[in-house]
Amino acid sequence: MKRIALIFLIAGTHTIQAQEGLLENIQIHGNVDVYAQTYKPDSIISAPVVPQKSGMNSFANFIATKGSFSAGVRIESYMPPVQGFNPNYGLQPVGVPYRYARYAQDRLDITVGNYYEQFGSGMILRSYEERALGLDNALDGVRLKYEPVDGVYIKALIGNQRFYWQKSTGYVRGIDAEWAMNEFIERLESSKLRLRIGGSFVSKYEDSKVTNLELPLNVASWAGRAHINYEGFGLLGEYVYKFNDPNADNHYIYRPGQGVLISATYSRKGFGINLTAKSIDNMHYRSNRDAQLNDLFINYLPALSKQHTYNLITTLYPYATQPAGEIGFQGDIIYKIKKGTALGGKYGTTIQGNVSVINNLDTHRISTTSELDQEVYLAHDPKRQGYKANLWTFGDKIYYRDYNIEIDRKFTKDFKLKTTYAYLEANIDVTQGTALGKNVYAHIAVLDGLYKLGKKHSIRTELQHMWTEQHLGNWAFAMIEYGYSPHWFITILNQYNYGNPIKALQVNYPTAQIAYINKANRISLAYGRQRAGIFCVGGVCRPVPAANGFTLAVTSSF
Amino acid sequence: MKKVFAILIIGAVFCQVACDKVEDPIEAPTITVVDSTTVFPEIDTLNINIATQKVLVEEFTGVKCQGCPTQTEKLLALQENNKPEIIAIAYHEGVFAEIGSDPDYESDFTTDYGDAVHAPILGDLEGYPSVMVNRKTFPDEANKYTFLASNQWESPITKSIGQPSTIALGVAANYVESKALLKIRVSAKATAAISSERKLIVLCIEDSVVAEQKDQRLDQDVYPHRINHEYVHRHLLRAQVNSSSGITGDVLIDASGLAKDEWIDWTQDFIIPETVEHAKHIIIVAFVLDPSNGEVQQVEEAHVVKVAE
Repeated sequence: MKRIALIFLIAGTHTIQAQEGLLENIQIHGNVDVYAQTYKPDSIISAPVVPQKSGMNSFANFIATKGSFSAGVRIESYMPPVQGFNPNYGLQPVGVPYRYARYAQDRLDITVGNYYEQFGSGMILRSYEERALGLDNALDGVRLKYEPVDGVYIKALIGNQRFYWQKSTGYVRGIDAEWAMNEFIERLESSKLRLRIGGSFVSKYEDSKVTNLELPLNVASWAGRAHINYEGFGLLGEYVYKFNDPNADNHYIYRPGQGVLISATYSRKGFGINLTAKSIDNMHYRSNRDAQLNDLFINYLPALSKQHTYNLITTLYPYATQPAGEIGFQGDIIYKIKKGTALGGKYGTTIQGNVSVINNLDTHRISTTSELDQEVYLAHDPKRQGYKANLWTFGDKIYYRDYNIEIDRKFTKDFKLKTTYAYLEANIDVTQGTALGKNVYAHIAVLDGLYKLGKKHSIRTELQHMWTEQHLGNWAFAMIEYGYSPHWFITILNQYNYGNPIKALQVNYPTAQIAYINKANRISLAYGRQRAGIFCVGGVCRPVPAANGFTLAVTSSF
Repeated sequence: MKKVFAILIIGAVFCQVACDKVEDPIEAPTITVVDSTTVFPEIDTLNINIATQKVLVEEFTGVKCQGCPTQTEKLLALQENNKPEIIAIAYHEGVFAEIGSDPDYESDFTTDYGDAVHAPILGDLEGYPSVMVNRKTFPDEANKYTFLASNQWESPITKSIGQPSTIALGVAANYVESKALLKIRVSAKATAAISSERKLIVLCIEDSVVAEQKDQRLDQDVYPHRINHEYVHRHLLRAQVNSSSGITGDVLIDASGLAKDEWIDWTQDFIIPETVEHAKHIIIVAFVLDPSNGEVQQVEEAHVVKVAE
C-alpha cells in the first residue's frame, strides 16, 4: 500500500526536474489510472456474489527522459481484478510487469526490456495494450530500429510475451523492413505519388509437449504490404502467410494460415469514401499453442465492422473478429452538405453511411473435429490439413451484417442533433458463443441531441431503441447529461429490456454518474446496474458480467 | 546501399532457420488388413524342405558403394551355384546408402527394418558390403559375426550349407492386384522336438529393381561419376511384413515348444508398400529365430502368385 500511496503523491505533481548531479535535466512524466467497482448480489440480473465485495484495477506509468535516453516503469495493482477481467491478474496484487530502457541516436533506436510493436496492419505481429479489454501482450526482450539510409526503415526484435504476471514460454522473433519511395529518392520528395512497400518475417519458438503429433517447434510467418497514394486516392494491400501451426484453436491441424487485407480510399473536401476487403483463414497465431481467449496473440486481425459508440449497438451485438476464418468487406462514405444550402441548413449537415458484410469462409472439411481431437493417424487426411478453403470464396453462413446511416446537423448555434439508424444481423453463436441456433436481426434508432444553455451549461440527451424478435427482444435506452463547464458532468441513464420474452427478465438497468474534470485529471463516480454482455474494441472482445454497485474511475497524467 | 543489403542478407538467413515445416504430423500405423474375400494360399506340405537348413545371407550395401557391385556379383554366383540353398537379402544401410541432397542419386532404399538390424552391428562392420550368415558367430572364422567381401564370407556360407535343422518352413503368397494385397501363409513343421520359444520374421523383398548404383569398374566417360543408372538391384528389402510385432518378430512357437512332426500355421494380409515398383517381383522371405541366441534356425522364400479375382 505504501507504493500505491507513492503513486498518488507523484501523480499530484507535474513535470519534475531534478536539479543535482546525474539527475540534472531529467524529465519525468506519466499517468495514473484507477478503476474500482463495488458489488452487491442482484438475483434479477444474475449479478454474482463477490466475496471481496469490491474490485480495483489500477496502474501508473513513469517515464524518465534525458537526451537520447529514456526509461520507464509501469506499476500495476489488482485488488482483486474488476469482475470481467481475467482472474490471473489477481495472482499478484501489486507488481511491475512493464519496464524498459531505450536509447535513440543517429538513426539507431534500441529498446531493452518491455516494448510494444506492430508490423504493417498487425496481421503478422502486433504487441499492444488495450486496458479496457484487460489485454496486454507486451514483448520483453530487445528491439532494434534502424534507418540505414533515408527512406529505409528496419526493425528487428526478439522477446517473450506478457502472460498476466508471467511470461509466455515461447519466444517471438521478427524482422520488418519498409521502403518509402519519396524519402529514398530525393527528387520525388514532393511528388503527388506516394509509395511505401514493406515486408515482415516473424517466427515463434516453443518447446514441444507430450502428444502423438510431431509439432513444429518453430512456426514462421511472412507478410508483404504496399501503400500507394495519389492526390485524394489511396490503395493499401497486405498479405500474410503462416506456416504449419497446429494449436488448440485449430484442433492441431497443419494447414497453413493466410490473410489478405485490401483497402481503397478517395477523399476530397467534404467527401470521402473507403472500401475495405478482408479474408482470413486459420490465423490464430500465439506464442503458446494451447493459449485461449485473448491470451498471447502475436498478431492482430483488424476489425471489418464499424466501431459504434452508442450503447445498445456497441454492447449488445458487436462483432468479434474470427481468426479461424472469415471473409467480408466494408464500405464507408461520408458527405458534408455545404452550409447555407437548402439541404445543408445554416451550419451544414454531415451524412455518413457504412456497410459491413462478413461471412464464414467457404470450407470443405476433410476431417471432423472429433477425429482431429483424437490426435491419431487419419488415412483420409494423413497430413492433418483439416479442411479445404478458398481465400476468396464466401461461405453460406452469415456472421455479421451492419447497414447504418448517421446524419449530423447543427440546427442553431445552441442545438445540434445526430440521428442514427442501423440494421444488424449478427450470428452471436459464433461471436459470443451462445447456442441460439439462429441469427439475430435488429433495427436500432438513435437520437443524440446537444443543447447549450448559455456559456457554461449544456444538456445532452440520447434516446435509443432496438427492435428485435430474437434473443433478448426489444430494448429502450435513455440518457440525460448535464454539463457545467468546464469541470462538472452529471449523467443519468437507463436501459430497459422491456421486450425480453421472459417477463421476469424485463429489467431496468439504471445508472447515475457524476464526473469532475480539471485539466489532466478526471474523477467519476457512478452507481447502478451493469448489464451482462460483451465489450469489444477493434473486433477483440471480452465478456462483461452483470454487476450492481458503485464504480469509481480516476485518470490523471503529468 | 551496402548496409541495406547486409541487413537483408542477415534477415534472409534468419528466415531460413526460423521455421519447421512438418510434412507428416503423425506416423501411419501398420495396418493389418482383414480380407475374407480371397483365401490364403495352400502350401504343398509334402514337398517342403525338411532335410536341411537353408542359409540366410543378409548383405549390407549402398547405392554409393562403388566396390559393392563386384562383391555382390560373387555372392549371386555363389547363390546360383548352390541353388536353392542360399537365400539373400540386400539391406541398403550406412554411409553409402544415405543419398541426402546429392543430385546424382534419387533412390533411397533404406528401410525401418534395415535401420533396426544395421544399428546394433555397426561396431562389427569392417566395411561395405558385409554380410551376416544365419546371424551366427563362427568360431572357425575368427569368431566373426559379420564378413566383409567374398573372400571372408564364402567360407562361412559354404560351411552352413546342408546343416541339419529342427524346423522346416513352407511359404506362399497370393497377390490380389485390385487391392494391392498379399495373402501370405507360412507353415512350420518340427522335424525334431522343439522345447523352447521360436520367433518368426517375414520380409517383403523386391528383386530386380532398376536404379542407379556407383561402380568403380565403370568408364567415367561413359558413366559420369561412375554411376550406372540402369543397374539391376537384387533381393532388395522393401519392408517387414509382420512389423506390428517389432523387429524381433512374432512368437511362432511359444515356450512350451512343439512336438516332432507337429505343424504350426501363420497367415497375414499385407498391403504392398508404395515403394515397390513391380509387385510381380516380390519375394516373401520368412525365417525362424531362436530368441535365446538370435540365430536363424530356418529360412524359406516364395515368389508371389497372382490370383484370379
